[in-house]
Amino acid sequence: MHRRLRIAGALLAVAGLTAVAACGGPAGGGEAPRNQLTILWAADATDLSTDNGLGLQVNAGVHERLAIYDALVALTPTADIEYRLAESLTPDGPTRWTLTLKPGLRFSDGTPLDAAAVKFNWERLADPATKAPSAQIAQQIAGLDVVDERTLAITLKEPNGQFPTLVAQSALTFIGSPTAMQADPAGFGSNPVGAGAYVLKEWVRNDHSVFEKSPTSAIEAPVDRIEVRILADETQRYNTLAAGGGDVDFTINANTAAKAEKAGHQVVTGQTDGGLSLQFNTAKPPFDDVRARRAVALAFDGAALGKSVFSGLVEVPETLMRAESKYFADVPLTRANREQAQALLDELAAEGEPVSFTILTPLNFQQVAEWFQSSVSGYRNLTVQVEAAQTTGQQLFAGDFDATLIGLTRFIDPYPALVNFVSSGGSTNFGKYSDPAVDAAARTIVTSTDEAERIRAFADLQARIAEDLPFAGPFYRMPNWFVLAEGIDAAAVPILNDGVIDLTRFRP
Amino acid sequence: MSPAVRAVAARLAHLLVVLALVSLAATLMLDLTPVDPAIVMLGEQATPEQVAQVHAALGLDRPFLARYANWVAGLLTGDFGTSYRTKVDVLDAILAALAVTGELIVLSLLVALAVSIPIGILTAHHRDDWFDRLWVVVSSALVSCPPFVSALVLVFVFALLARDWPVHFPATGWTAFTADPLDNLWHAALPVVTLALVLVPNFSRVLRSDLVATLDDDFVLFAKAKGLPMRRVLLRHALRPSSLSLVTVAGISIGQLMGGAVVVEVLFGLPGLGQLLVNAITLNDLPLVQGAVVFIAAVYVAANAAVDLCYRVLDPRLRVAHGVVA
Repeated sequence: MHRRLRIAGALLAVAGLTAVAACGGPAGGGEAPRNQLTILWAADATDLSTDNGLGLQVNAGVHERLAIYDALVALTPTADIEYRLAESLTPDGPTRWTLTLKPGLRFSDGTPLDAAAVKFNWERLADPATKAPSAQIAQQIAGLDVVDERTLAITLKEPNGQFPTLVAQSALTFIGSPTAMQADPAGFGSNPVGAGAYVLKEWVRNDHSVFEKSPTSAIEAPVDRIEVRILADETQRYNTLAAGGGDVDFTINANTAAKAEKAGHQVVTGQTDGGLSLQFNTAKPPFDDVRARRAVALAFDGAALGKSVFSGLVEVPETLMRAESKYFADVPLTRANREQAQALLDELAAEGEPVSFTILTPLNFQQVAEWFQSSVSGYRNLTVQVEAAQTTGQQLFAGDFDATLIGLTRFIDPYPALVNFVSSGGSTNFGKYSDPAVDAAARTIVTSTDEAERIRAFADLQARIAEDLPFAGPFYRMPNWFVLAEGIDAAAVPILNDGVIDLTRFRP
Repeated sequence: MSPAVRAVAARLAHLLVVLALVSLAATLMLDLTPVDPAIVMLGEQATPEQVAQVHAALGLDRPFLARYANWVAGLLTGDFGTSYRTKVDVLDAILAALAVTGELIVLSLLVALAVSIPIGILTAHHRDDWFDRLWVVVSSALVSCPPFVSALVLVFVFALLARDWPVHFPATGWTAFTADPLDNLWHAALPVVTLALVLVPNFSRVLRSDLVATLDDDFVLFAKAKGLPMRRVLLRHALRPSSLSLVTVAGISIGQLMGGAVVVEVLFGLPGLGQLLVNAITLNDLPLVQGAVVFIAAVYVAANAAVDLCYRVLDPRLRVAHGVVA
């Protein structure tokens, strides 16, 4: 009898404790003091090393890296350079730059973040043995010379007047402790050491990571603790925020942002230029003929797509750049026109070249591809197939496609994203597009340090793209939103680049 | 060899055969998928040379059976391999996730038994009265409600609607028991209830059915005739011989709970085995998928074997039948 009583007592105790916890759960409710920030994010990083990620732009692991490493330089939402750990990055000639670091920078292991540390990181990134995704960018550097503790002389292989923009948007901007990397090269991705405002305290893969104030960082941490929680499901993330389990919910779903605003949440938008586009393979028929490219661009009705697939919540662009961008040029994108599209298709068919092609699409754009396929079913002399694949990279690199839906034209500064997308030999110019006028404009955009000259070159580039159509679109912009918990003001959430929260300026 | 040892040996042999088949099927299935592990590891921008290097390093250029044998040899030494994506040890990842899934399963079973046993006893004792009939209706409703529906309802009511109530629970998330036991129970509450709701109808019905039969047995009638209190008759005399089917169902439920945990962990964002497996499949992390599938199969088969062996402890007639107890 006593044993049964003990069991019953234990069960009652568990139920009681759960009820007690439920009455004042540590993370439950919005009353907890905001000396911590919980970000609800969609995907976890594969590791948190400096060399296995992209730069300071929206991607898995970006906030974690910003917390750990901060950044040498960053891009602002208006495409200006913000110096963070770097004091300056100035040109000394077409291929020479000088990086000066801020004084007193230290990694969380106590070692200095000096010019030698930057040199070590960049050379490691360029080393083919590291197998870094950003290796090609680091390999643009011909030589690095440590001038003094805070000064690094950089020599590039090719002239580049926009090296800071390149650093800001690549892994070059994250600097890790050489001592920690050398001590445990394989484990550095799980136990990263940087000079950012926070140190990694806990990381449960695909669940959450916890960061606490770094004792050695020169950067002031605005909150004691940051937690990044990974919830892949859109509804789960929003529900978690609504139930008080987070402060900021990341979303790329316009419906979620609209629903949150309706529910009274403040929403911060990470704006970008460009958007989802259809890149043509110009190296082979049918899209080696500009008339076929134009016919498809005329047949693709972005406004109808926005209404049918996205309930009219997405912004359908009229121009490549937003009017707010300093690189805006009033060059209208090709608008849908059924008659003109049909006339071109009939013309090509009369020449024995009816347009028939397959859209290669990653799974996340499959719905868009299938919508387009059905929307053009009434056209004569146009046949569209859809090939959806989990990964499309190998086919794209091999040039084994007709046209592909791609979100690479999503950017704040068109360099390097747009330049690489359309210039001859560009790393994402999968369609092998080549045009002397585009290449000339791209060269100016990359090499010039004169902003007015660059803006003119961008206008030329946009005009030529609109005329020659290496890609159709963009059909809709691809911003991201941060839904804020009750009590957090949108003004407290400063944004970097295309939608990264500046953790060092977050003032809850 | 005694019958008991023979029985254990037979169960062990069965377990090994099942594991061999499951591991072979898991490896073969993954081998047939069009995903190249080298691309998973290096990213889509990998050059053909880099891809070839990784193939050689992982032994992917060797025949299937050689790779399978190599993987099994690793398993026997506790080497489940390394995740393609995160480079973490697969066994470490499984064990870390098991702490969550294991707690969910244990708590769900305890909660389900704690609720089902009193209900089973009550409905058997008061068979065909209003509570018994009401429970038939309620349990039918619960049985027909899949975990993903009950999870969503629980989240809606106890996390979202209850946000400003004195008692509320989190919609997602997990805290380790070692980090904060109270917070752990708070986070585990809704997932555990979701899983337990699936079990309670079956458990209570099975127990009721066996108890009804037992209550008509002569020894129970004799106990009643002796004037023993009904509570004592039910708990001391009738419950134990009526619990065989319940033990069977509870044991088999461990496997069912493993499956249910996949759904519940995904719905509540818990870092358990189910979530690990779903993420590994989504990210094409083949060693993690292989390891998790074999591990879950091993637990499932081991749980069933343990149930079989438990019969002998609970029911002396089985031992007598096999000559263990003379």
